[in-house]
Amino acid sequence: MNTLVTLNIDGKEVSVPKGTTILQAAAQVGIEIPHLCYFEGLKSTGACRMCLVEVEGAKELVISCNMRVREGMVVHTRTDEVLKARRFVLELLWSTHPGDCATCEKSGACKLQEYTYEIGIDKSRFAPLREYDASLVDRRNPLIELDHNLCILCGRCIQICEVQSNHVLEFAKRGMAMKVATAFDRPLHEAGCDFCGSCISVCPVGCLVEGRRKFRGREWEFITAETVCPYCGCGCDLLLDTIDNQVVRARNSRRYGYLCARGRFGWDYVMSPERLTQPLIRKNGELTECTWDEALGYVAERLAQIRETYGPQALGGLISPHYPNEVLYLFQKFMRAGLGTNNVDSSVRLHSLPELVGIPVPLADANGDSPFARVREADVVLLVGPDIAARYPLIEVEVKRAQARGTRVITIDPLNTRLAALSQIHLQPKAGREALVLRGLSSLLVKEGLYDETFASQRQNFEAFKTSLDSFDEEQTGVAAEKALEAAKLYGDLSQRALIVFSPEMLGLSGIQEVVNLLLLTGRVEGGALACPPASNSRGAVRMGAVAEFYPGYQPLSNLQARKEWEEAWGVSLPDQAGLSALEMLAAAGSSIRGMYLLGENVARSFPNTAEVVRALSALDLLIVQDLFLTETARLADVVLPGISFAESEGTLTGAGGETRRLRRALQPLVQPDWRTICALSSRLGFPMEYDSEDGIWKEIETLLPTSVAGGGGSFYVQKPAGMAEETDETYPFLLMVGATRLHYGDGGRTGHSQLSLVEWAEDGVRVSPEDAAALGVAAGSRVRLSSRRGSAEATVQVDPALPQGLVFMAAHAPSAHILSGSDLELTTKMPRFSLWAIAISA
Amino acid sequence: MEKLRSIQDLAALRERLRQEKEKDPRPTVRVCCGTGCLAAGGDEVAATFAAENQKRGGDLHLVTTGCQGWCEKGPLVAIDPHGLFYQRVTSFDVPKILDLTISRGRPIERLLYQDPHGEFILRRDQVPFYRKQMRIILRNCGTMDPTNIYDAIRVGAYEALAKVLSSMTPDEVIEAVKRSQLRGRGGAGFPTGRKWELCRMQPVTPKYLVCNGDEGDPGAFMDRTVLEGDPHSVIEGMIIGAYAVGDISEGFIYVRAEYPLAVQNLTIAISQAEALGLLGENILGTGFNFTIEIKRGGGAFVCGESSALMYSIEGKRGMPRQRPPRSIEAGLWDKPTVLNNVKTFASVPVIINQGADWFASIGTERSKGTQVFALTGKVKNTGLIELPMGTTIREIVYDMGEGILDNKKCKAVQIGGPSGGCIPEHLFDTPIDFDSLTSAGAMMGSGGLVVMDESDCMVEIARFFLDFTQKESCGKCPPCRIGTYQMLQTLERIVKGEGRPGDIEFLERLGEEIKAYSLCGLGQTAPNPVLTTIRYFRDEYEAHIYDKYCPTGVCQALGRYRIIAEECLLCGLCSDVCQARAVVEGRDYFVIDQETCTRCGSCLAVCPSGAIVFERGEPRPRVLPKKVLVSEGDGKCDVLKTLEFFSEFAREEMCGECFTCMIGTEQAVTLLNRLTQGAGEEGDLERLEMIAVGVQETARCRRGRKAAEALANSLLQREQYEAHLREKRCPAGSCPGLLHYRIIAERCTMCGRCKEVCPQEAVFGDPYVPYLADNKPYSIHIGRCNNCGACVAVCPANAIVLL
Repeated sequence: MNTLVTLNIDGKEVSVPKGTTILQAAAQVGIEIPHLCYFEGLKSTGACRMCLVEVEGAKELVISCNMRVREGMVVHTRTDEVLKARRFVLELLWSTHPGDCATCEKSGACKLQEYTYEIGIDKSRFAPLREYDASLVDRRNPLIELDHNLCILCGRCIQICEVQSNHVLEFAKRGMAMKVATAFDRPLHEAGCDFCGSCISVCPVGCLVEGRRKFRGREWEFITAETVCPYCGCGCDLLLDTIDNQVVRARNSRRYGYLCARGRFGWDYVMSPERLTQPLIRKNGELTECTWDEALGYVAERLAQIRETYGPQALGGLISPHYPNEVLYLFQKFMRAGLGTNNVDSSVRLHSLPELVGIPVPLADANGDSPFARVREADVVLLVGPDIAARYPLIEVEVKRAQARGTRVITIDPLNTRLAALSQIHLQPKAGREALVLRGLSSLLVKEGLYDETFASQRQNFEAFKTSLDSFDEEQTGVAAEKALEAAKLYGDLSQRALIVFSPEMLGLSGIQEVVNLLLLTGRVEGGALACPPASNSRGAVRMGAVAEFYPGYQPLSNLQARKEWEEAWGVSLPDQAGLSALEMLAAAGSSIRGMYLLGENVARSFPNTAEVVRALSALDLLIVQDLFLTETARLADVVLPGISFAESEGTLTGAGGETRRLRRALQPLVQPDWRTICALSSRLGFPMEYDSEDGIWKEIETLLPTSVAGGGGSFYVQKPAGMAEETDETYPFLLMVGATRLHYGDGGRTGHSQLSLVEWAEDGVRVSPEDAAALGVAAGSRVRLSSRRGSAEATVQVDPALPQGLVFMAAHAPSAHILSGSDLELTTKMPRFSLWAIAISA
Repeated sequence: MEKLRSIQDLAALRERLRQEKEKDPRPTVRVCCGTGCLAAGGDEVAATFAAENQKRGGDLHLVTTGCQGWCEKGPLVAIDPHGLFYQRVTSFDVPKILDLTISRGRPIERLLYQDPHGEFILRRDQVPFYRKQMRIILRNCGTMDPTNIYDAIRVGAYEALAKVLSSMTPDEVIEAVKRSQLRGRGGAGFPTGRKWELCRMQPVTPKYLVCNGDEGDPGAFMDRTVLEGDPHSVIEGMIIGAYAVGDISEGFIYVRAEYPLAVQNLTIAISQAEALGLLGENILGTGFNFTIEIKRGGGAFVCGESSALMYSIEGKRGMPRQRPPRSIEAGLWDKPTVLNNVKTFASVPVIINQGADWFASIGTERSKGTQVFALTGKVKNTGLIELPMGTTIREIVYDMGEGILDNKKCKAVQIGGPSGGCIPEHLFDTPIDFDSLTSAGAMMGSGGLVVMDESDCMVEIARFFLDFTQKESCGKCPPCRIGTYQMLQTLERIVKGEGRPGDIEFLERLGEEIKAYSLCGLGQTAPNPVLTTIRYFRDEYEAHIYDKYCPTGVCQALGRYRIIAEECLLCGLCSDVCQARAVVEGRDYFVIDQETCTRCGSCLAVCPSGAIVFERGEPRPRVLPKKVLVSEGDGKCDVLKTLEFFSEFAREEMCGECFTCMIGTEQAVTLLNRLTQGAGEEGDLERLEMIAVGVQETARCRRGRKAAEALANSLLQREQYEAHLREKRCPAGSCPGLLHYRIIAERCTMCGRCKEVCPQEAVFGDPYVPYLADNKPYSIHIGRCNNCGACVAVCPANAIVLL
């Protein structure tokens, strides 16, 4: 299909693949044909009439964004006739565009302005048809401002909204009354907008702009930092435009790139006035401001004291997987080498564990692209996990792009989500039974012979696995066997490139094992699955050894050779006791653990079983919290050290495919960078760590880090998969799911301080299915009491038709969400055993 | 209803039906129940027939038919075997018809058509309206009951389908259609056979078939009539089309939801055809499958455009898309799609039955067959007519239409709906076919034909059609969305009497550009009515623009209603009827206040004595007086004084170095100037205040600040400024630019009415004394006059003018 077509554009010969449009071909030889409605990557609509060109032999001017090249075509892009047409269109547009370029945010980056200048129109022939009408500016939501006065109705926003978001924008009305609107002209936040801001990124004029950007700087004054989005593990490229040490807007570096609401609007927490700027020390029960010197001195003294009294094993540290590799590495080095304990862990344990249990994870491809792009290339995509798109919005966009080129999608999701509705096959299991469905698919594949016999039979345990397979269990899974068979046939078609995308935190160990079984069965081990990392540096946290069982580079503590190498590298002897995992440390707080150092972990909000966590933290002799804000955990601390945000950090992240991503400083740090704090502390404790910059740390990591990756997984898992739901009974008949919403991330510690919280902030909302709401006799807005085996909380009911009966949902950033959840450990992975908890609801 | 299992079953059924009919001795009464006749009471007539028939023991075969065409004369009733054709029948006539005509065979003269010579015409085919018609598409409309498939089969429906399925290959069908040279009846006239062939060659499957019944032109109802009166011909044509193109098992008929009867009859027809096995799975036992679904449109004009129509079927917003790819390559759901008009499909069975060569023998060189027109407008006979291509417009208007209403002079016809063009009387010998119409600037369109007489203003007609297309523009591309709006704005100015030199050229150029650069057919044809009316009636445009005169008197802004005092009976009816309360009652007269008058014409209609006249806007009297009659109040007003002060200041004193003084002064001069000219705008006083305060605060030197202070002081005379701004009046009478009412001495008859009505007592002068030779005319005190205009309204001599 790669036939080349040669044509002549303005006297230049150009050879392009067949099927290219004239506009694209012209771009290849550096000729920009003006266009307002066409946008690379979107379907051409031919609406704006700007890209007209003259093709020799054609009766009339043709639309170059739509016309495919033909061999020997001769195209002229700037003849008098063409310019006349463009001038005409521009003059018409100006008669309806009562904008004032002096105050327009887009001035200087506006396509209408650019083309008008280029063609040289000083005065329109036409009478202006409209006066600027201030009532036509839609500021009903704080994030996206829509100024209908400036709209030229190119339709780009509508098209991209369909592809990248919820298709809430459409044209309304006809003729001159036509406008871009939501259904019934409701405000965006009520019309189901995702606030991905894609519409802003494609608007050629100043009609759609970020609400908070107005009058904060012109486009040509921006200083741009290329960094990475700090939230989920999708790791989208993020450009931060700054002026005067203030972020003005965020955008994606790629032309057709995507940012979700968190990425596009969730950055302004870095400039929040609530940020901590001074260390705090508890004096007389009150946290009071003090100098860095005083705080560090106090911390060092107390740590030394505890180490002295109880031994180094009485100390423990937790670090958030959002920190760059450098900080993660330093932290574990400080804990292991400086303090002499292996009690170092991260909340990554609660959410993402494929590497922790030695299960292969996808790697970046040769040119270092994130594995998320692979979704686009797959023929069949199997999505596993509840509401995966709310957790990882990029997935939905990639899936939609893939679908546009014919990819078929199977979703295993207990919820009736948007993505499930878009899928070709939606298997809706009972909540928490995804692993069972996967096992069922395996059994169907084997039964139908849809597997790679030669590959699978060479793997360990294949025969045992095969004999362990029962027939597909409709009763247990809640999925009709017929539908499952359909899915199995689709996934089992070995001629297709298939990809499993799953959210590990909701599947648990057995779910991941079942994914591995499917991969081994179909021989798709290489690049056949994509585990979504829940945090921007989840993989880095494990790779840098910020987890209890690994030294940096996935080397287990039990590996004596590795230990020796690290001892040599760091010049100390390392402890031989195994480290405690995050939940184990908290469980031991007050007994064997006496002091903890928490870096960016708001455990009192984001760890399961809040009451227990608070009890544990209060029982400690020393609690050090280093964070951006005075979080719930920080309020319990003895010392609070301020930290810096991603926008102030230099460093590296490890992407979903293990690739190294650069985090670049966009703003001057508000306080001293975290790595300096750790170094200073370490030096005071007699283990000096000297680095001149983040680069220095990275160099050390690069030299010392072994090249091996987490491997293994050549063996089938035979054991019957466990469910992820706690047992319900008559007292606690409902299952509670705690998860992300599209606008907020995790415990809301950062998004809650951003403009996103102005649009949506589920302080204490609980979503209930319509059936359950009816059965309970509650309606939206009713207050109910939720209770679990661990505690109880009040909440306001929201009715959500996406939920199946018996399942209720709370946003992870709701303060009461984890009051109800439990911290029973799964023994292999030491993560919580369940992701769904039995609760009761009383009106 | 028993399913037909084979082609022979169908033939046997038809034969049986025909014989049954032949054996039926009862006379047949066909009552037209098309939409036009229904509106005139056709259903009542039919119901009365039915009731009477039952009373009399059912000796009558009653058929309620679809539209018989001559809507002007509805409800229509045709009676066989007498062959009588009654028009304007009411339910009261029914017993009489039964008694006289049916029982005794006597025609009722009152119900017969009477030709211009006074002769009664008995039979339909002798009526001039029908005589020249050639009904191919409408062959069964009005002769059968559209809700009864047996009726349709008896008159030949599905005969062509049987022939196609039994003895023709798809290629032979396409060949036959190509040979017939049938061109699409939707407007553009693309050869149907060629379209089918191109779609047949597409490798992608499945394919779809769409029938376009989205008839959006105002005044056009051809498609509706066919769908209402003979849905089976369309269904049959579609099945044949699907068979010929191949790989089609689903078809859609897109009908406007505003056509409830068409939707209803179609639904009935489709379900009956399905029940008989003529549609659906395994048609007539041949293994060929085809289903038809009705999609109802929401009434957007643009959805008649094929790609917009397909989007609408898909459930999306109906907006045309750029081509290529063409619909035959990627249409509905991106699959190859054949889209044809209702009339095109209805023509297909005839071509199959009668032969392609027969069809090709009708019409002109490049346009074959017949076309259906909805004849409306100022013509005596309105209704639906079907004619061979090549018939001249003159024949249509004068033979079928029997000339113009009230025997006025014919001016033009608008062909092709709002996207078509106006063809003037002198081109009436143009034969109607695709190409001649296009070269005359019009187009075949869907076949609307509106006749206009000498009382129609062509500018207003153009404005009317453009207003329609502009509002119906989908809005996608700027040339159509904004361009037509720009044109409309200009036309609206012209009909309001605010046309400017250059407007015609502007419209012409803009129209051509819109045609050249618009995305779809709607935009490419929208300027046609304007361009053709300019082409053929340029003088009317010029009269509107240059003479402020509407030759037909239609444009009411260019004329006025006036009460002729001498004729007035003082009955007061005009005052009672006036919604706008524009009729002012005096002691012994009525006058119309021109400012309030909305020119609705109600007063003219009720006036028993003909005292109210509509005066067409002759060029407005802008007579200059010999001298200013009254100039009392020699002092200048504050506004003028301040203006002069600032002009002086700007010219002599201002150094121009500091911005605020310089620009502030210039601004003040501009604003004051426009106030004295009567062109002040809302907010000007506030602007002046802003300047006064701002310059006082920021000017560099004392002079500037002093000047601003003077302005501030002057602004204290607020009433004076207000009068200039809002009333366009200078209380001191000193501002030369402001308008005043003045009495032209030469015209004044000294009747004194102006003095009587003046609320300001601003009219001076002695009452008329007949025996005095040197009676002075009346005059108006500019200082007192508040420009209310009451005097103008009452002046019988047009002696008072605004100057």
